Amino acid sequence: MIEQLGNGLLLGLIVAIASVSLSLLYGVTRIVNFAHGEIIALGAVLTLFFSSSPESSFLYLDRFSPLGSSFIVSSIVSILLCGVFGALLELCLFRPLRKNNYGNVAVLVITIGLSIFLRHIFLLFASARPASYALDLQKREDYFGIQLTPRNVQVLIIGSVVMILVGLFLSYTKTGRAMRAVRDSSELASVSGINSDYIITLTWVFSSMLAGFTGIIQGVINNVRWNMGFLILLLIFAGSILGGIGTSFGAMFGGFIIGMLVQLSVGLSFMDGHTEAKNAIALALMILILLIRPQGIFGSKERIS
Amino acid sequence: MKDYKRYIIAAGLLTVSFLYIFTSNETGVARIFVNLLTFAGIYGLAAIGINVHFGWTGLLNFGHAAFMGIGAYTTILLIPHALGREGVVIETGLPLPLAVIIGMLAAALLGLILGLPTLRLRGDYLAIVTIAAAEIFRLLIRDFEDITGGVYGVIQFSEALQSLRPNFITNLATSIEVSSSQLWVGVITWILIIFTLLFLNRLQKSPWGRALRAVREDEDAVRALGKNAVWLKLQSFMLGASIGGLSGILLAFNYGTLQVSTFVPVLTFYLWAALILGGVGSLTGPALGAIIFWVIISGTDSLAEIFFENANGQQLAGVRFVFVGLLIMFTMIFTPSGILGKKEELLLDIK
Amino acid sequence: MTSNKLLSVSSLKKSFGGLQAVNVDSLEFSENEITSLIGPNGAGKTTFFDLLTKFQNPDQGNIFFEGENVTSFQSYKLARLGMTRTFQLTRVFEKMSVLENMQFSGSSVKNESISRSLIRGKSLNNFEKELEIEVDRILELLNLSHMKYSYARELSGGQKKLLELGRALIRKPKLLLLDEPLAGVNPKLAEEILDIIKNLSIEGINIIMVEHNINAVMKISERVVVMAEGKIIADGEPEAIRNNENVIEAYLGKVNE
Repeated sequence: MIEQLGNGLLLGLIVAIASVSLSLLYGVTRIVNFAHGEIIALGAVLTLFFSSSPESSFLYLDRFSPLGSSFIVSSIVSILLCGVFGALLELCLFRPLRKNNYGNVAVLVITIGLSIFLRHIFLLFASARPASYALDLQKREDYFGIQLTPRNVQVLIIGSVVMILVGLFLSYTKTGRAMRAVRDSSELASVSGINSDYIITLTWVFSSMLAGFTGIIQGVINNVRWNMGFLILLLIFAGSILGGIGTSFGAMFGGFIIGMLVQLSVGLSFMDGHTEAKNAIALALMILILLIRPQGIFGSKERIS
Repeated sequence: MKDYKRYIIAAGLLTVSFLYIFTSNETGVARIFVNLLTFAGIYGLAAIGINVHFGWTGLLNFGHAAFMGIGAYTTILLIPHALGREGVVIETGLPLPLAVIIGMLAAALLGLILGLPTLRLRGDYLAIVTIAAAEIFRLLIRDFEDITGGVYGVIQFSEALQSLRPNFITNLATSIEVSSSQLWVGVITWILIIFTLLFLNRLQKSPWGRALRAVREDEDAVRALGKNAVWLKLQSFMLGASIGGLSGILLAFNYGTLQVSTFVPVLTFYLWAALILGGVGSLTGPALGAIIFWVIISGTDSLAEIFFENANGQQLAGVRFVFVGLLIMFTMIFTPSGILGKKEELLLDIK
Repeated sequence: MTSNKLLSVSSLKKSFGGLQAVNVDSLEFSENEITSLIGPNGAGKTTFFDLLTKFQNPDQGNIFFEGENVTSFQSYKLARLGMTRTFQLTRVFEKMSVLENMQFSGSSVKNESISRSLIRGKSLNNFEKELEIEVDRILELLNLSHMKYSYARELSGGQKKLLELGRALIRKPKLLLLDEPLAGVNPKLAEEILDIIKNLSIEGINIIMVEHNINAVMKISERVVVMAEGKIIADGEPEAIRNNENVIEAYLGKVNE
C-alpha cells in the first residue's frame, strides 16, 4: 500500500483542486454541473492538441494537425481558453436559463446532456485511445521513501502553490470576497452593490480555468482520455460530499482524502486484478457517508434537506 | 382542445417515422419494423420506470441501467444458462416466471439500498448516488468475470422464454420473414407494457398516487399533514426500480446474450432522452418517446456513416452520442414537457 | 402533572451560529384556548413554531404532547398525533385541484399504500366517499365550494390561505398552529378567517397562532404570549399584556435601535 503513497498524493491533489473548482461554481450558481468533468478534460485535450507534434497519429480528422508548440505555452493558452469556454457557457446557456426561470431540475438534466455531448466530441476529435503529452519519459526516484518522478514532484509543488493562491484569492481579494458573498446570499450581495451577474460570470471563468489546470495535470501524471472528465467527476462528487458541500475548504479536504483513499485501495490485496474497481470504493464510501453524516465533515446541516 | 393537437402531432411523428423506415429499406421492412418496435418497447418500459420516479414523484434517478442490469443478471443466472464460450453450463434452474419475479425484487432491493440514505436529503444527492451506483455496477460486472462470463458474457438462456412461444407466433413470423424468437420477445414486451400501464393507471388515480403527487410538489406541506414523505418516495423508488428490472430482463432476452457492455451508464441517458422527448408525467409518453428516439438514432447512425467514413467503430458510436447529448439539451431547453407531457412540468425546483 | 396539558415544553433551546434564537424555560397549553404568539421581528416566534412541530430540532429541551415526550419524533408523526400547522407563505399543492388538496390531507395513511390502492376494497371506497362529503362540508364553510375542481394555482392569494386552513381542518386536529394566518390578507377576508378560527375554538380545537396584526390578536385571543430575543417575556390575558411594561419596552426598544 505504501507504494501507492506517491500516486495517492498526486490523485489526492488533483481531486482536491478539481473539487474546489466545482464547489466554487456550485456555491455561486447553485448548479450541480455534470459537465464540469468535460471542462477538466477540455484543458487536457486542448493542451494535447497544441503541444503534440504534427506527426502524431492519434487525433482524428486529419485536417487539423497538432501544432507542436511548447508544452508550457500550450498549457497556458489552454487554461485561458477554458476560462473563455466557461464564460461562453454562462453567457450563452446558463444565464438565459436563469433569466427564464428554468427549475434546477431542468438545468441539471441540461448539464447532463451537455456532458454527453462534449465527452463524445472529445471522442471524435481526440482519441479513443489514451494519449500522452510529448514529454520525455522519467524514472521514479526516491523522495523521502515515496516513489515519484521528478515531474510528479514539480506537479505536486505547482499544484500546492495554486491551491494556496486560490485560498488567498478567495479570502483576501475584493473579487474573491465578492464571490463568497454571492455564494452565501445573492440577495444580500446585490443589496451591497455587488453585480451578481458579473460575479457569476467571473466565477465561471475562474472555476473553468482551475478545472482546465486540473485536467492538464491529470494528463501529465496519467494520460489524456476522452472520458477522463467523467471518471474524475464521480471522485469529485464523493470528495465534496465527504468534505461538506458549500465550503471550499471542505471540498478541498474531502477531495484530497478521497483521492488518497482511492489510490491506496489499489494496494489492498483483495483488489488484485480489479484495479478499475478502485473507483467503486470511492463511490461506496460516498453512500456510506450519506448514511452516517450527510453534511460531510465540514458542512452544515441546514444545507442538505 | 390543446390535448387533441398533441395527439395529432404524436400520430404525425409516428407516421413520418414509419415512412422513413419504409423508404430507406427496400427489403426486410418487416424485420426492421419488428426490431424497432421491440427495442422501442423495451426502452419504453424502462422509461416508464424512470417516469414513476421523476414524473410522479420528482426523484432524479440517473442510474436506471443498474436496476435494469440487476434484474437481468439475477433472472438470467437463475434459469438454465452458460457462462461464456468455454464456461460452465448450468442446465437446471427456476421456472421463468419465478426467476423474473426474483429479478424484479432484486432491483427493488437495490432501490431500497440506494434510496434509504438519500431520499431524506436533497434531490441532487439521489442524482449523484444513482450515477455512482450505475458506475459501480458496470465496474463490478466487468471485474467479476467468473460470475458474468467475461468477454463472451452469459449465453444460451433464451430457451426458457422461447419454449413458451405459441405456434401461431412462429407461423406469423415465418410468413412475414422475421425471426420468430425476436417477434416473440416483441409481443411479450408490448403485452407487458400494456399490463404495466394498466397497473400504473390504477395506481395513479388512487390515494397512493395522489399522495405521491403531493410529495412531488411540496414535501414539507406533506409532512405537516401527517404523511411520511420519505416512505412514500421510497415506495415509488422501489416500484420504478422493479419496472426497470423487468425491462432489463427483456433486453437480455432480446439480445440473446448478456454482455458486460449491455448495462452501462449511457443506457440511462438514452432513456432520459426518450422520456423527455415523449413527455414527462404522462403514461404513454415514454413509449412514444422511445419509438421516436430510436428512429432519430437510426437516422443519425446513417448520417454518421456518410460523413465520417474514416472513423473507427467506437468513434462512430460517438457520433450517435453527440446527437443524444444535443437532443437531451435541446428538448429540455425548448420543449421540457415533451410531446405528450404536461406543461410547466419542468419549471419544477427539486428542493 | 402534564396529564391534562395538551402541549408543554421545558428548557427548550436553539441556537444558530453564536446567536440564541429560542430559549424558553417552560410553557404550557391546555384544552380549548385561542393563544396568540406575538413579539417584535426576530423574536424567535417562527423558530419556536418550527421547534414545536419538529420542522427543526432543538439543541436542548423537551416537548410533551398529551403527556407523551415527543422531542425526538419526526414532524409527520407529530402531525399524526393531532398537531397540524400552516405556513407563513401559503403552501398549497398548486398542480392539484382544490378537491385533491383536501382529499390528500384527509385521506388515511392506511389507504395510501400500494396494495390497498391497487385492490380498492370496500372499506377504501367507503372511506373516500365519506371523505368527499366532509370535503364538501368544509369547502362550504370556507366559501370555496365553487372552486372545488379548479387547480389550486387558479385561486387568489386569500383563497389559497383558506384552502390551507381547510386542509388543516379536515385532519380534525387537536391543536392547530397557524403561522401568520392573516398575513397579506384584505380586511374583509381577515374578518372571515377570524370568524372561522373562533368557530373552530368553539368546536374544541386548541389554537396557537403567530400574528402581527395586533387588532386581530386583541379581538380574538383568550391568551397572549409575548416573545422577545428568544425568551417569553409575558404571558396572560390580552388586556394585561397590552399594558405590560416589558412588552411595551420590547416593541418600542426595537423601534429605537
